[in-house]
Amino acid sequence: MKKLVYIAAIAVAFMFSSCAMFAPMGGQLSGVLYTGVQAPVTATSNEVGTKVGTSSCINVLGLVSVGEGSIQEAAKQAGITKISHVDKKTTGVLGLFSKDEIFVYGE
Amino acid sequence: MKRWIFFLLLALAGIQGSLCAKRLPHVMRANGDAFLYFVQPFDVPSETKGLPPLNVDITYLTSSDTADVRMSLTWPQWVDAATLTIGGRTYACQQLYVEQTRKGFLHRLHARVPMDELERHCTAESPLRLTLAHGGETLNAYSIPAKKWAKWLPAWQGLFQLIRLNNAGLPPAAD
Repeated sequence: MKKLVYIAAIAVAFMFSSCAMFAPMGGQLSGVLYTGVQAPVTATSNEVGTKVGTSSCINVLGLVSVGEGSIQEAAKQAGITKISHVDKKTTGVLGLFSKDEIFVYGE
Repeated sequence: MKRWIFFLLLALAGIQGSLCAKRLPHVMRANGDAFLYFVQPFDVPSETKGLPPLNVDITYLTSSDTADVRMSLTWPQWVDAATLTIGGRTYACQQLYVEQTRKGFLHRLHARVPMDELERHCTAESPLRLTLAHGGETLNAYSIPAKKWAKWLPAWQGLFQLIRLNNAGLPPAAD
């Protein structure tokens, strides 16, 4: 009986992994046990900037998602008015905790 | 009871994952002939209890001698001008924007600090300490507690060493 409970708990954890992970953008890689991925979001024709701003949002247990993870917020944080490119970093552990960070580069 | 403990441990494992991240998360990327380093936002606790921490992020371009220190300061009143002091030297802060929140006014400040000054004041003997002032009067001081600094110091020193190593390999900047 105990074994069944533990197996069920692990199965639930794997099920929750799809809840805690953000919907991939352009097919971003993610792992059930651990995700640590940096990927591009977009690039513009503006020159590569020297300012960097970041914003993030988190998801816990697939139940609660909070944060201001927009490009606008990241640009505001660094005083960027001309965006050159945007990268995204996704971190996830066991599908129980995940964090999306946006990095905006510009001038 | 054991089952609930097991589920709780499973949940804590996920939250703990966030703490497994680098103590000083940073990104670096090539930027033309130079390297751009960005130390992601981190909190520096207030020395006055009860006040929110100062959220700081640092951007450094190797072709320059100065680092851009950006801070998010939450203060009960609106502060129209502020200065930043590190290690006895004062730097003027530019205000990027002000937002009113439930906790007070959120000020987004920017100061330019020489990189060698920053490195000089991130040592085992002198933990990072930032003082903000307005109109000549000290608003508040923020510093990283000794225990936490002892854990962070290797990451800071590693970052400065990485910058030196990369700078050594770069061609001299064109005049």
